[in-house]
Order: sequence, then C-alpha cells, then structure tokens
Amino acid sequence: MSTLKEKLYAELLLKMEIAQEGITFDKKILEQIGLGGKRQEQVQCLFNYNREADASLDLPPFMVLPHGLTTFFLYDRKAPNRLTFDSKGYYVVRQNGDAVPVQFTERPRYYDKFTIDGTPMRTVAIHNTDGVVFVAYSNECSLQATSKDCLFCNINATKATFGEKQGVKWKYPSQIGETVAEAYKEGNRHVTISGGFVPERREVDYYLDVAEAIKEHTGLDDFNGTACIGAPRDLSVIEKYKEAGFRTLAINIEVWNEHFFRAYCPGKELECGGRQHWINALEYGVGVFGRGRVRSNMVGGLESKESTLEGIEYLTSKGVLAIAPAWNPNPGSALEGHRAPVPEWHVDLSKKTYALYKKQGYTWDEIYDGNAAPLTLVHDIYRIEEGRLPIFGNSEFKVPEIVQSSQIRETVAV
Amino acid sequence: MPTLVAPAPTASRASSQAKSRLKKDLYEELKLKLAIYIEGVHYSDRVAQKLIDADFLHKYEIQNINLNGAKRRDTFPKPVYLPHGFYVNFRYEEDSLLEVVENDGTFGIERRGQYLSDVTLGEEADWHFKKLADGTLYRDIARASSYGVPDKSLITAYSEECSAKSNGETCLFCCYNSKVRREGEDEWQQRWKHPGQIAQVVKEAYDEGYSHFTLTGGFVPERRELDYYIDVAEAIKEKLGRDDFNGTACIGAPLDLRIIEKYKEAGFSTISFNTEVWGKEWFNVINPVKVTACGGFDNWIKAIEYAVKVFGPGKVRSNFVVGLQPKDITFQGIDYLASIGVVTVASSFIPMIGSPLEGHRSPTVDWHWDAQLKHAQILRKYGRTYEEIYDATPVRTLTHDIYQVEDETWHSFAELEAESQLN
Repeated sequence: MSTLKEKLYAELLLKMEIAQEGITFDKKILEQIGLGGKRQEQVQCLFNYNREADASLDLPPFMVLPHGLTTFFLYDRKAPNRLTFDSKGYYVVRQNGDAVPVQFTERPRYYDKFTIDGTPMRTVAIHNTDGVVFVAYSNECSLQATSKDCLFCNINATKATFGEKQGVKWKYPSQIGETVAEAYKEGNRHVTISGGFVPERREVDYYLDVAEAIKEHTGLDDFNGTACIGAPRDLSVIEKYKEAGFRTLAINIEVWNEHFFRAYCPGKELECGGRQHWINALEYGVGVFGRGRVRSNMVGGLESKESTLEGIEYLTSKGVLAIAPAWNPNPGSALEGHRAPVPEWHVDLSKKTYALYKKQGYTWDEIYDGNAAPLTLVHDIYRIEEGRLPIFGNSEFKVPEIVQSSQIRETVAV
Repeated sequence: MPTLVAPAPTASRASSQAKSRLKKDLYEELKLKLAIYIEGVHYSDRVAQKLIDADFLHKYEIQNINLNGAKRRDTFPKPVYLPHGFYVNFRYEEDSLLEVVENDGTFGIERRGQYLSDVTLGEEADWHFKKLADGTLYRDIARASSYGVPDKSLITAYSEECSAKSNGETCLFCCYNSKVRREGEDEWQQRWKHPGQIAQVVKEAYDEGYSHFTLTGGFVPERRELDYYIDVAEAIKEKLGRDDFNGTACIGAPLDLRIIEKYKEAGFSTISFNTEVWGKEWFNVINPVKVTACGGFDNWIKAIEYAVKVFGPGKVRSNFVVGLQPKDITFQGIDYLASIGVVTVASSFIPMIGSPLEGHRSPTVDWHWDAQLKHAQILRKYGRTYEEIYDATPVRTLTHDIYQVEDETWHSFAELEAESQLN
C-alpha cells in the first residue's frame, strides 16, 4: 500500500502528463459541463495554450484530479486522452485504458458581472484558482512590429484568433480596479498585472494608475499585487512599483543561458539592456521588495535542465523566486509544432527547485504571493509536503477511484 | 560502382494515374517511416517475446538506465522493412502511440488500435559478423548504414568518445560520451579503431557491393585528427588497390583552413562539417566545443565555403539537427549552404539517452514531415543530384527516399512498369 504522499506524487505526474498530452472530446460533452454557467470557462486574455485554436468552442480551463490536484485542460484533437461522461461524472480516458475521474472548477461570480462602462469582468481578470486572479492589461505585444517577439510566445496570435470573438481588449485602470474589487469580495486575495510590451515602454505610469484604482475600489493599501514587467533601463524605476503598493515584482528572464536569452528573447535583449541587465534588475528588485518578493519565470524545457537549474540556484540564492513552469509550445508561436520535455523531466526539475527553495527558506506564502497562477508543480510539492490540500486531515474526503474505461458507461460516444 | 538507381524503362506504359497513386502510397509510407523514427514504438511483453523468438531483439539490446529514471528503451540494430521496401530501425519508447503487434507470425504497426501497416523484420549485413585476424568483429569497426537499396554505405566512428567531455563542452544533442549500460554488458567498451582494421572492413564491404564510406568520430584531444584521417585513407587505398574509394571525411572546422586541402589530397572525395544549428547564438549554446576548438560559428561557415572551393559543389556536406530551433531559422541556414553547393542533411532531432537533452522531445511528426519535404525541395532547387547526396551522406535519409520517389527511380516504379507491360 502506498502512502498518501506517494499517491499525491503519482497524481503530480499524472497532472503533468494530462496537461502536456492534452484532451480530445466529442463537442457535445461541452454542453453538459455547464461552462459559463456553474463551471468556469477559458478566456484567452494572453496565451492560448490549446493546440487547436478554435474560438467557437467554450472550454474549461482546469480539471481537478481525484486527490485534489488541479491540472490544465488543453484541447488537442490528436491527444491520447479523451474526455467522457457517465452517470457518476466526468472521466479522462487515457491511452492505457485508465479512466480518471475529474471535476471542473466553479465559475467565479464576478465572471457574470460588468464594469460601469459595460465591459465583462471575465475579460478583465481571469480566475487562476485558489484565490488568484490575473490581469493582462494589454493582449498584444509591440515587439511584433520589429519581429522581435519571444520565440515561445503567442500573445499576438492569441489576440488575432480570440481577441474580437471573446471581447478581450486593452484594459483601463478603473476597469481593473472594479473587477479586482469584485473578485476580492468573493474571497480572492492575489492579483498579477501583466501584458505584452507597450510601445515606448510607457508601462510604469500605467501600473501606478492601476495600483491606485485597485486601492480605491478595494479599499486596501496592500492589495497583494504582483507587477510583472520588463527590466527597466533605469533601475530606480523599480522603487515606484513598491511605492505604488505592489507587494511583489516579477521580471521574467525566460532562459538562463546568455546566448539562448538573445536567441529566444530578441526583444528583451533589445528593449531591456540584455540578459546581464535583466539579472541586475532582479537583484535590484530584491533590494527594494525584499527576499522572496521578486519572481522570475523561466520557460521549463527550452534549454537543458542543467542550465535551468544553474539559473534557479543562482537566482534563488540572491533572493529571487526563480521558477520554470513547463513550456507549452503554443500555436502561433515560432515554436509551434515543437514539444516540451517528457513529464518526468518537469517533475524532477520541480522537485529540485523545491529543494533549492527550502534551502533558502522560502515559504508557501511567498510563492503564493509571487506567482501569477498557484498551479505550478512547485506549488503542488509545497501542498503535498506541508499538508495543504483538502484531503489532509479530512476523513470525509472521498477519493474517486481510477477505473478501467470498460467499467464506465459512457453517455457521450466518440 | 553499382547501379544507383533502377533503370528507367524506354517507353513507359504505366498510366500517369497509376504512377500518381503509387507516389501517394509511397509518401504515406515514408511518413510512417518518419513517425516510427520520431516517436519510436512500444509493444507488449508478449510481442517482445515474439521479437526475441524471431531473433530480432536480443537481451543485449534492452537498455534499462537513463538519467530520468529506470525506463526501458530497447534498441534494434536490425532493419525493419515497410511494404514498399523502405527501411527503418525500431526504438522502444514507452509512451509512443505506435504499437508493434503480431498475428500468426506477421508483425505490424498500429496507432491507437488502428492497423497501419505490415512490417518485415530484416537482418544485419552479413559482413558485420566476420572477424579480423585480431578477433575483432567487423561490426565493432564499421556498420552498414543503408538497407534495402543497391547503393550501400558504411560508416566508421573511429573513436567512441569525444574529448569535449573533459571540458564540459559536449554538444547538447550528443550522447557520444554517455555510458548507458546494456543488459549483458558489465561496462561500456571504448574501442579505438586502427587504420588497418578499417581498411580491411571497407575492402570486404566493397567486395560485397558497398560503394560509399564515411569516417567520423568524436573530437580527439589536441585536434590530432588530420594525421589519423590520412593514415586511414592510405590504408584503404592500399587495400582496395585504387585511389578513389568514395570516402567522406567528417571533421571539425580547422582553424587553419588550408588543412582542408590535405583531406582532398589524401583521397577523400567528399568532406563534411556538421553545423547542426543555424545562427551564432544557437551554435554557441548547442555546440560549445565547436566554439572553443573550431573558432566558432563564423569560422565554421568559412571552412564550409573554403571546402566548396577545394572539393567542388555537391562534394561538401553539412548536417543540421532539425527540431532544435525554430524551423525558419534552421532553413535560413540550409538554404544558404545549399545555395553555395553544400549537400545539407536534415537529421530529425531524437533526444538521446545520456545526452544533455535527454528527456526533451522532438517536434511533432507533422512538423518534421514538412521539414523533410522542404529540405528535399531546397536541394533540388540548387541542383543537387541523388548521386551527390548519396556520395556525401553517411546514412540513407528521407531525402534519398524523396528524391527517388520524385525521380520515379524507386524500385516500385519499375515493378509498376513491369506489371503494365504484362497487361
């Protein structure tokens, strides 16, 4: 008999496998889920992760696995995993015949509401589970104009496919303030402000206006916000974000190797003074915001594990929450058609990242506050190691059983 | 030289529709060949036993160790033939959607329960199992690198390690320095091949109809490869009793480009410098030893340009590991090099056990299929012929196959013609 912890680590790998392999389905099943009603739907505010970019479909963003870990729902017509349904609920049927029971996340109430100017709040801030909302103030990136887009990024392709159809536009500070306030009323407690590069890098004034609007509408001076920005050329600008009320800062370096930084992020090299300046900005940010209050994402799987871990080790030692969530080769990016490393690779990287975090003493609260979505494998390892899942200490918690597909009576045939 | 292509009939009686149908079938089969190569195959324990019973899988070839955990990844030195005769090698991948199945002694390939094709299990070249006077197996000196075709190549890796390892500069896709233990082996055997051994094996293979030879290997400490390559060329010429042995010297770019002339003088008819990826930044990361030992990307390209002047158009080859970088960037490089007369090779990236990129994955089969078609078109655009590709390339590639399908020189066209003549 395996222990609960072993079962959770097995589910961690399953989470990664399903997220990476994607899901296929009969479109009729989508009507049964209640997306846009009781269940949350995807809103493509920044990066479309589905391998089929079909704006006519309402899709769920997440699925909850039997022991309580949450995985991503990525539509891929050719996926080995198939979503199906029987009288007991929804299942993901895998290539080996396992039918994994899954549940869909509740739709936040603010998704039904509108700002004063009539903008649907669901297009202003998306809900990333566990009390976290995410705002992409701009759903385009000005680097496209000079063909300097990051090679893994599909912001502009996402806007082209989904922007008009889903009504996703540029957000004004007051829209963000209203929406975050409404989201916080129902228990959400962290917000990240992010977006593509703005022409002429005029982001600082905008971020300050957004912070003011959120403070005004929520009535909170400390609204637990993360400002996700490009490294400013004048590092003293970083202090303004702190003064404006952001609790944490994110400057995403994406890859650690200096040559890869130039190759994968030509716009960041051009606009932000290059990789060393990016590192300087992170270290400066720690000086302003404090250890564990600055985050830097890397795209896990673009470079060798050794190189990624070298970067994570260096940056975490400097007080930065460096993290490498799994790369999803997005449609419309220069790397469309590529594939990320195998799930075990990502799980191993995350375990090693967790070990480096523990070495530096980073707490759950710090990684929760610093990240845009509390869904990374590192978050889950904290949950497993610190007993932060509903299953812990709850004898009433029922774990739905993984069965063979032959044991379920599908009501939606494919 | 053996016949490289099937002889074209004097007056074709096969209808253009029949040829179109055949071409479509051949392309579908080539895409399956590519899929098997990219995705690998999996099979049940029952089928594994059937493969062992058929003398196709040996315990020796079951690899059990890798860096990401104890996964089983069997390897198959023997070829597998698809119905129209294209060959591929199996590689076990636990998560592959392609499954080897067996029914009453016939093996086939399925994808998610859908039967795709019969396959025929082949044999290694007979000469692999001969022994030199010192007891060394021929297959430990050189390997056949093309099957099922009259134009046969063999390849020698003169060493089985690369000095890049000592400085931590192994190319990221390369597993040359890995020590993956196989069942039945106590430890990895490092074997250096001596010129006399190589010459003997080349002679035997050429006597059996082989007609192209590639000499390659890892970096040698202090870059002392030139003397060795010349010694090998001399030994082969002496053994064959002729100066032209249709050999390719695969080397790293020398800092003094004039050295390239010495390979030509030694008797190599073609030369190869494998660029692997295009663009200085990519080159710096992927090929660190080629930066420190060979003067970097700029010198590498200069060496290729110089070599085209020495050896001539169609006589210089450069390999790309396709799938390590965006397709557009790779094809900028392929187009440039092909435009100056280089025989480019588009090798699909397979993340090897023991390489720094172990655990990574190659792009999708559709992505690679597009790349392969594009690559063949580019070589064609710049006038490269099948014979030039054959003479410069160490192994048979999809480019060879696509050329022969487009030229209608693949043996299936001759068979179609023969059927039409009978009717």
